Amino acid sequence: QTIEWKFNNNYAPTRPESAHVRNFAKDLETATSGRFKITVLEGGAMNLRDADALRWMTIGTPEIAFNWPPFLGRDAPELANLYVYGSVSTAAEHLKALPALEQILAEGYNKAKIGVAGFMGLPIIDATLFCRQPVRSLDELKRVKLRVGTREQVETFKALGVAAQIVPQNELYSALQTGVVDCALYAARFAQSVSLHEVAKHATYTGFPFPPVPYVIMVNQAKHAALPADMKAALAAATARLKEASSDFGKDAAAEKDAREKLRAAGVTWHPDLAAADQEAIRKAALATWKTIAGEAGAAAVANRERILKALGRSD
Amino acid sequence: MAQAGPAPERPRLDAAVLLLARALAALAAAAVAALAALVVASVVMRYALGAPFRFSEELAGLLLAMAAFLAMPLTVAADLNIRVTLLPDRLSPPARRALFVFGQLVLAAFGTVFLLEAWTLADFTMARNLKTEQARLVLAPWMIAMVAATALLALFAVWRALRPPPPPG
Amino acid sequence: MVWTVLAGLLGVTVASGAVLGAALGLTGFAILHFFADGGTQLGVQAVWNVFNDFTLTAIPLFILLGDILVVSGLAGDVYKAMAPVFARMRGGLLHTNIAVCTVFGAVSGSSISVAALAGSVAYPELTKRGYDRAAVVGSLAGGGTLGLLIPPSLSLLIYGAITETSVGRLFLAGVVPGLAAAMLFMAWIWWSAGRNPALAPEEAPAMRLGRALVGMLRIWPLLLLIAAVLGTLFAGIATPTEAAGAGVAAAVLVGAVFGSLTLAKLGEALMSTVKTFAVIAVVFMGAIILAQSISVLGLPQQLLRTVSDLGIPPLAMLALVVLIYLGLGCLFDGLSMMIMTLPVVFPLLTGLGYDPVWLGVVVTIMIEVGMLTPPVGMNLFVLVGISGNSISLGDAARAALPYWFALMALVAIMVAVPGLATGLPDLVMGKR
Ligand code: NA
Ligand code: NA
Repeated sequence: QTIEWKFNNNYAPTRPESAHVRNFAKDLETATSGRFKITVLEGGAMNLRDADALRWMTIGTPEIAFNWPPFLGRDAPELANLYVYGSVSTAAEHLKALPALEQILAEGYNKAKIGVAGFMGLPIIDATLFCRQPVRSLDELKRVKLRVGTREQVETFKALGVAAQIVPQNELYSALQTGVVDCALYAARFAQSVSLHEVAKHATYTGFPFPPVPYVIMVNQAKHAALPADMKAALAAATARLKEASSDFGKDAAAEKDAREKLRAAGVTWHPDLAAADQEAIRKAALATWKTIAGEAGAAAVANRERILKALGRSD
Repeated sequence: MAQAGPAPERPRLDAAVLLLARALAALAAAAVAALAALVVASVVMRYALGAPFRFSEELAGLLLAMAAFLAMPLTVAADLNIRVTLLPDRLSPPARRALFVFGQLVLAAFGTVFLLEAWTLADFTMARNLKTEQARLVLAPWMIAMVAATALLALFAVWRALRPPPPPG
Repeated sequence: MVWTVLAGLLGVTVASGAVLGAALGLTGFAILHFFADGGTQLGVQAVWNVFNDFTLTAIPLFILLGDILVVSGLAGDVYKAMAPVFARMRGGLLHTNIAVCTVFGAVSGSSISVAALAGSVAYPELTKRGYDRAAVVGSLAGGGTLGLLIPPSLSLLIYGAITETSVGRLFLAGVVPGLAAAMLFMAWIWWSAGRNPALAPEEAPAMRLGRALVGMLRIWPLLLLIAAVLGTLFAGIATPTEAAGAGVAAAVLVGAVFGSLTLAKLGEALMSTVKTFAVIAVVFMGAIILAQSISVLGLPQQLLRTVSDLGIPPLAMLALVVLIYLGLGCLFDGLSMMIMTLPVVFPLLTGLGYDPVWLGVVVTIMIEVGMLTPPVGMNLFVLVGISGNSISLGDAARAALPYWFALMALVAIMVAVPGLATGLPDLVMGKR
């Protein structure tokens, strides 16, 4: 008979991830001649938070979803900080660590009794400073208030002498508009979707991408176990195609350039990237944060970090 | 605020219930006061001193949850809750009483399901010794407060069912 | 099947006169248990998440702000000062409810917060002055809806993020419809008080208008407070949520210096605040669980997808979507309804040629309409809670009905004159 699954997608329909997921659903349905249907509920319509994924994924509704591990800072800190902002700066570096990352993630989600059907690639997305006034160096950044998205970013920038804080996503626009904060660390590719260009007209690339940890395609273990063998195989094949389609790092440079062009057309001034010395300072601070945070999160996190450092061919 | 409490049939138990409920509500009031102070302090820290608190948002959220949960038992003990009384208001006293008991059982059942699931979450939190993401505040005590508050909600619902229904509104 | 179970359970539990929050919540739990793989846990998690939401801290803070003004006697003084002027107008001080909501709509991003603030000040004072309870509650529930229309607005922010529409444009687009709504509300107050003067029995004093206006200068402590809240927001000192905290601090100062606020009275205000807040929290808790049960099943999206396949002309489609929002609005609190429906409604209606910015305002109005529709209407809950149950939910809903109609009329006007929403953003930010 026909299998019908719900796919929870918390991202806005306009995001590239959402397009990949829609294609995946269509692909699977075609490949099984309509016997495996996946209804994608996007934009957070199921009202399930990413941070709670390890809790709701064991229930059975939804049957399948994707999750970005850094969101699990509360429930699984050992999986949330596999990378920090500043850990890697290029796709080449990242690809060295990717197999270790995927292995750690599969083990970690399985330990939480959640199946891992596969992965969806996260592009290399540059982390840029979007500011109300020109901020072209770490020195200038130290004189203003910065909004970041995660706690490890707070620690890294604090170590650099920057007043960094987390402002909730819902208050970011107003906070920048009125000057509660002066800058936000954000992705050029997603800045326009939250209208950042209207309230922060100066952009400076920091030299580092957001941590490119892949998305985990999670499945409910019981629902997955109940699939007939041929449907299991079809799901695995479709997930593999999803990973391939979403992991083309060669396209990232062009996508970033395109996003910058669009922002420029919308009135944003792009300043030169942070100088090499500033970038080095960020990398150093980030490495220290990475170590601190892993230490706080316990033995498993420390071990995970070492596996990744080893894969990167680095020590600390 | 109107305090149309139930007629005392066993005054000492009733007094104890109200006392406990008021004490918890006073804790909730303290949580609101702390919340206000925290928000103001964090604005001052950021604006005047350029040194934002990193724990204010999460702590504020937890205080908000405490303000909500800890005051809930009082809403049952002192009959403050919103009800739709279109039907009961039109019934004879015995029928009204029966319907009232049914309604209290709905509340007790709701409270019980809630507390059991809240316990599941609290248990998950304790087993992993979970902390908030940014400020690393230990979460278990707050979750346990939620379990306890909803347990009292269910208990008070049963206690209230044994007393006469509130007068027609 | 789900809808039948939902209607049946909800009907029985609500009608029994059970605590409304429990009736909604138990229904939600039942749906989660029987239709979502026993996922009752999802309901509790959703409640925990909402009750931990920093942006919602504005609700108890605004209630507290109002309670402090009341216990310190400032609210009484302010209304006494305003009464001689407003007594000359049909509807009297009811008009100030709309004015206060308009001003605080510019501070707060949520309609619940605005209704809570205006309600906690105005309800005790106006009923003391002999105003009709229902008329007061209706005007406050209606006025609260300005919280989402006048920027900043949580719903327009979320709309912008889900649909990649310019938040700047959306905010500007809400201004004129927001003010238009305020005028419609005042027109209703004027008309209804003319028909039934008992609604607003303010006695016109013997004093001349000039003297009355001079007397109004005595409201300046309140103006100081408003300046403090608006000031911290627009000077970039505080975010909209934090501005509520700044308001409490200012109220304590103003109340102690110009009013009769003491530590004991502050404690009294805090206890009153938590009682009101807890009543709202109980019913909110049930509403969250019910909404979670429906959203996790994807039912609204399913319904809308069926509708979108009908292939009917744009205006008919818009009418149908509005009708669906009216139906869903009975059962769901505002923002969750928006998040559930937008992924289908936005591409559907913009695909038929409706302007995305205009649509954002229309959807916001429909959400506000839902907040006035029982059995799940958050603005109604807030005011019934503030009134200490001295008005029933049914009476509150009836009193809010004219405001409900005013908002629906506004939607109709916006269909006829889309420029009402798009005019200001086009003027300020240029045509797209
Ligand atoms: Na507003
Ligand atoms: Na409603």
